Amino acid sequence: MDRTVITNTECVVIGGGTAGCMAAATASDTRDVTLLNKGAGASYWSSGCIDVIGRVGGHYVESPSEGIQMLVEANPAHPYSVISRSDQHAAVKVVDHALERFKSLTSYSYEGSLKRNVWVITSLGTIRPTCLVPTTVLRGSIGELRDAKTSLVGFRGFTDFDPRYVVVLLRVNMQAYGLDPLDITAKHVTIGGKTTVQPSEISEYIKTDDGFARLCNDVAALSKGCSHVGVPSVFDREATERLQQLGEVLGVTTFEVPMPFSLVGHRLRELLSSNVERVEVVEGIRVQELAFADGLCTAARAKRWAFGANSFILATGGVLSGGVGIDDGHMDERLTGWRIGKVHGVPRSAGLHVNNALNPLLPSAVKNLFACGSLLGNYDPVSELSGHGVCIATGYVAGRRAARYGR
Amino acid sequence: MGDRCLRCNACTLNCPIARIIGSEVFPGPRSFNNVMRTPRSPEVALLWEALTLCTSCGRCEEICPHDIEARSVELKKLLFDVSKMAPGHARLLDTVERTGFAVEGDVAVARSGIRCPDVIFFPGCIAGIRMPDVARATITLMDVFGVSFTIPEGWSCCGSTPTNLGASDLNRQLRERNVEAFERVGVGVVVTPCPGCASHLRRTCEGYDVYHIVEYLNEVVGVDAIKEHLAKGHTAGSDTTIAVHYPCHLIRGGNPLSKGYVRRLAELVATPVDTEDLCCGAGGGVLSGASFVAKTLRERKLSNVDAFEHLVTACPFCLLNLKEGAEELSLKVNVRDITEVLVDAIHRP
Repeated sequence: MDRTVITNTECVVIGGGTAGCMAAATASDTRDVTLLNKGAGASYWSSGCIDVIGRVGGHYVESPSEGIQMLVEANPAHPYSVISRSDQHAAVKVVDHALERFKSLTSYSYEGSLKRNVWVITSLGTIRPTCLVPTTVLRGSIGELRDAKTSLVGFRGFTDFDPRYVVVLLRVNMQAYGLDPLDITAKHVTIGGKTTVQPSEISEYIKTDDGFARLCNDVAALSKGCSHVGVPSVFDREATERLQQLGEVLGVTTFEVPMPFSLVGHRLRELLSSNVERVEVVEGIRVQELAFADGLCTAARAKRWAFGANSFILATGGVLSGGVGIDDGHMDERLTGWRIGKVHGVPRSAGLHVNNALNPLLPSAVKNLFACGSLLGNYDPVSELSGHGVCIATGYVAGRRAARYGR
Repeated sequence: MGDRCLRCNACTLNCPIARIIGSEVFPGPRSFNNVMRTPRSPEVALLWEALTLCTSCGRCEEICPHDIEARSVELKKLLFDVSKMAPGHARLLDTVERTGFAVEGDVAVARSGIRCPDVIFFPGCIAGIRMPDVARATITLMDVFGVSFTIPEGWSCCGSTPTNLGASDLNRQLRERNVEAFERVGVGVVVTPCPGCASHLRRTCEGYDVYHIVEYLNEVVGVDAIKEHLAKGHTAGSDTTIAVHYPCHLIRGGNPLSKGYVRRLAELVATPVDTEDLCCGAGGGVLSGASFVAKTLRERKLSNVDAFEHLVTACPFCLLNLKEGAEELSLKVNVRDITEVLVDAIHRP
């Protein structure tokens, strides 16, 4: 009784996170692309800052381009090495091109470059380096705040961010790094008298004229004599504009403290997906398996839908996004069941291994299948601080390779 | 149960009720999922009122990266107690029990006696009784495209709204009644103009191939066939724009391609412009039992559409709610169902 609906296109991208959107956008320059997505992936875990490389061999790097070169030299299997055939200068160039494309896709709301990492405060009261940041975050970087008098404002009822906690821990952390303490005080405002609020409500509140006016009054009363006012990054796109206006009204610089579990990852996803115009996006579809014939991928299948194409891009993400499953101590690629590592195996090698064309190597290279993003192995986004950078660079390259396939 | 949840909170951050009505009143899908670990604890019973504000839009399920389904219906089933219900909800269930339909009134469409029809046409309560123009437009389209059909005698409410209010016994009775009516026709394909009915029948009536009319037009009739029937003056890619509201129960009702289907049909008559991705507020019995939620959401939905001459949807219930809202706010925008728009655009002999 069940009917299968078959859709044919030139290129199918599976996964709509940072890597998937980058791949779809790049491939769509010359191909008809269908992007299949299920759910938010790991976007809500993201602070929206684009780490490219923050640490190599346990040491912080000031310049991402130098960091990339060091990485490529040290680890020929690293995704940055793979996309550049282990050529250090080519690696920097590819990542740079990918970041430029990313900036254009996100309407140039991101700032920063491979020349120098930016150090930012986190919602945990730590400081860390990152490469590209939203303009609103850049205004609150350590460099900007060094000579400023800052008021850090939290929202009562939003328990994921407590400015008092941030201020206390920041003092401890700055001392540990041998840095002078910043002049920051912690404050709280209420959102319409509510005792519990979600970031989405805070965004709605600041978007209304009444809420905006009240927030202006409340923040002004708490921030006398301050040059900078920081808030947790809980805003959607429109609300971020309001934050800018709030600064103009009060005559201060407003900035966001990057934090996960909020709307920032969503903002990034929205920015990316709203600018991939030539891509047909299908939401709410969980691809269940890939079909193969004669060593090539022929279709992506989901329940009673099948999507055929010349080339396929696998951007299903890691464990958080459901691209990688953990079963009985083993890690599996979810669509093919390929074993891609052990939970307690060789550190950092777990993940899909690919050749220089980004074709998965298990069981043997599939020439029209290209993998990208956090599904890949041989890198460690957490200790290297390279998460989004690898997604953007490999997504960009996978998109180009997939578009070129068969031409 | 809630074990797969990674606490990313994407569901609650995307929930239109938590965002617009507020998480104090409606704690959101993540809370509902959390309490499933101790569903019989006394605190869960306190959630009843909040649960009845859920429009069952399915946004939480769609955004979840780990396929965790919305828990509100399950919890409502568990806590089901007519005596605690909002008057509007109790009235609705009473109407279904008495008449077999979710709204009072006479069914406006009928057609029987067709031998070996292609499909069963299931009007649904809203299109069949309250918004008969939608049922009639769907019938016209099927006639034009040569789809023969029967409206099964003895059909009743599909059971979607009763299920959303936790009345699972009533749903079972309705299902049996409908399946009996379908069996008398002896055809396995069902077409309906109502996304709520389509997604619910698909879930409950095993062995039946259920299509919303938009899916049927795209997957079986084909957009090219419709194009051939377009009257002169209605050419694809025309200069006029129309605002489109995608019904939640259609685009998240089991066919992820259906959003593209609505757009493709709208493209036949004008250039579609998507409205904010937001539930109209009517579903899940909310319009009858917690109308303040429906009113707040539809006002929000309608706040950006008055520049358009037409706002098009593909659901009789969204249509009813948005039409009421547009009238209440004295908006100029004309709210219409895609079937009505297509009927106007096709050339009839």
